[in-house]
Amino acid sequence: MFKLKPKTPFKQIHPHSGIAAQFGEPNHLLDAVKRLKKEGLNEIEVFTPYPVHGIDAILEEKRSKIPWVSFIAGFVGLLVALLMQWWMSGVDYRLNIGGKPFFSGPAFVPIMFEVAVLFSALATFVVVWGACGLPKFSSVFEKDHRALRSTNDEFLVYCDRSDHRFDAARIEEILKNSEAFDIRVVGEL
Amino acid sequence: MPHKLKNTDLYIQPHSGVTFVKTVNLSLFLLTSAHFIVSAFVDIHRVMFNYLFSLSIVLSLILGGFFFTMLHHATKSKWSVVVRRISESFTSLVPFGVLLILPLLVGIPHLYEWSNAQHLSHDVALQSKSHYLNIPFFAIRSLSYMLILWFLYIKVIKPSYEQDYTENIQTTAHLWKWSCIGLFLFGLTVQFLSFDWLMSLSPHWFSTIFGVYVFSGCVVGGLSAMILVIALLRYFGYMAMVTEHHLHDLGKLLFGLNVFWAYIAFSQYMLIWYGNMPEETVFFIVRQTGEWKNFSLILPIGHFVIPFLFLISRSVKRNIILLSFGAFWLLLMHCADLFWLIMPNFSKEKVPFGSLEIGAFVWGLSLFLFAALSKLQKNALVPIRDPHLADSINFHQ
Repeated sequence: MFKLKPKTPFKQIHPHSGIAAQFGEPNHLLDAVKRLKKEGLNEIEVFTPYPVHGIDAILEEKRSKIPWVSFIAGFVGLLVALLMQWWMSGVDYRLNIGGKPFFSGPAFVPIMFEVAVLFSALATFVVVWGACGLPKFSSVFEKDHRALRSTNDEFLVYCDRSDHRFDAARIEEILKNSEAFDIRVVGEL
Repeated sequence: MPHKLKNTDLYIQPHSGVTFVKTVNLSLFLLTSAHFIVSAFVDIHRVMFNYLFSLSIVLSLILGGFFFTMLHHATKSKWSVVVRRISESFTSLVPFGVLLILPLLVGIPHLYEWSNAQHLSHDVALQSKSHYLNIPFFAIRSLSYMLILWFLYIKVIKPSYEQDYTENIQTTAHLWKWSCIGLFLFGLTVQFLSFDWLMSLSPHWFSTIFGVYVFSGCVVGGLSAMILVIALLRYFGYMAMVTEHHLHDLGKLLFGLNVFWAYIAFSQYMLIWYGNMPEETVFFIVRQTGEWKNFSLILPIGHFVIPFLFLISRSVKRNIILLSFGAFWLLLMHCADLFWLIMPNFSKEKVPFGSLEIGAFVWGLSLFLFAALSKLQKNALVPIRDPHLADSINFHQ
């Protein structure tokens, strides 16, 4: 039997174990997740081969904060490039180019744009890795080959046992009632 | 969840508020037309420039509607089927295009420096351009732009309306084929049309990117007008099938193409600024002196920075009230852009702003809105026999 465990903050990076089940149809999956949610379970992960409409609302997923990181990083890049060019062309190493002012805005704009794109892209890349818990060296599905089907033609639901409402028998019953198959325990026990 | 389409949702009812809006627009149009005619006896020069300004507003929105429709067909888009009738209705003035440009052809001597024989006799640069810039050839070109647009209208707009009755599925393939050819014709037309009507206002100046600049403005204006017309129809209880998903996509296109406009505008400015050659800088020098200096600042801030920060948010693009505010702002800015392109050629020092300029602005928008709403009222609000209609109604992001 499973024991109650406190919620661990790094559960995605260091998963323990839980119950997984396969579905053949997206509406069966939606149905099952709805019922699991009704039980009060919160540690539910869903793996699907393509985005399933409506799943975010059922899982009560919040809007990602990553766009804000991209925006702010881009804005910082804009300012950094402006500052850099002000220092280089305007102060430290003044060159007369076509009689233009040393600090001339229009000439700086392309570089400001490029640096903004670079900062934004790099920051987004790093933050997405962090948010997804990458690089991932272990997974509950390491020895579970059936889970691979969720990248092809099946849908997978996984309930982590770190959930304080985790009740293996009840979950199994719900999954069975919503046409899941291959209900199994995955991960290290 | 598939919508159940009722007949009363698909057709604008004769006693709805849309009819009232149409009447208001028709009255505004007649009023400003009368104002134009009366003012022509006082200051024909100024009236002609204002007419060109209002004609540009109408024509740019027509071109924006054409572009959206053809882009939709050429890319075989499914999501945009429910909003296609809006962009199609924008082109309803095309059969009257020749009538619209007649005053322009009459006004050539008032508008274009190159048409003045006396001026031409001691200007070598203009003499060398006179093979292209002369009155008969200009008139032929102007008429042929209208005929090309009419041809496109027959090939990519009319069959779509006919499909409602013929229920012929081959029409969709026909529209795809002619949109691919049409986009090519459209690109050339916009390029030369903007060279002739807008760029030759200052015949010494040239910029090869000018056509693209005008094109990007047209698309921004057209998309803004589409969103506003949708909001208007929604206000009167129609177009319920346009969901936040469609609005989001329209908003993204508007945002993206507005950034494209800024990119082109800045590219044009920076290359001229960098090159610093007198025959190129004349365009910006006129717009950076006198009262035009302050007017020019409206464009980078109002046409780019403010809408960029406003429309970047997802929730704004999915909210019809906020999105239509952004669209209204950009439509105003698009008109300011056209004003900025045309009017410095009329008055170099001062920004002309009086009842005539406001009248020209109202003339363009009221004529456009009256024509678009009339077309929308005559036909179903969505292409009811389009094979992708169900996909579009159930469109989800």
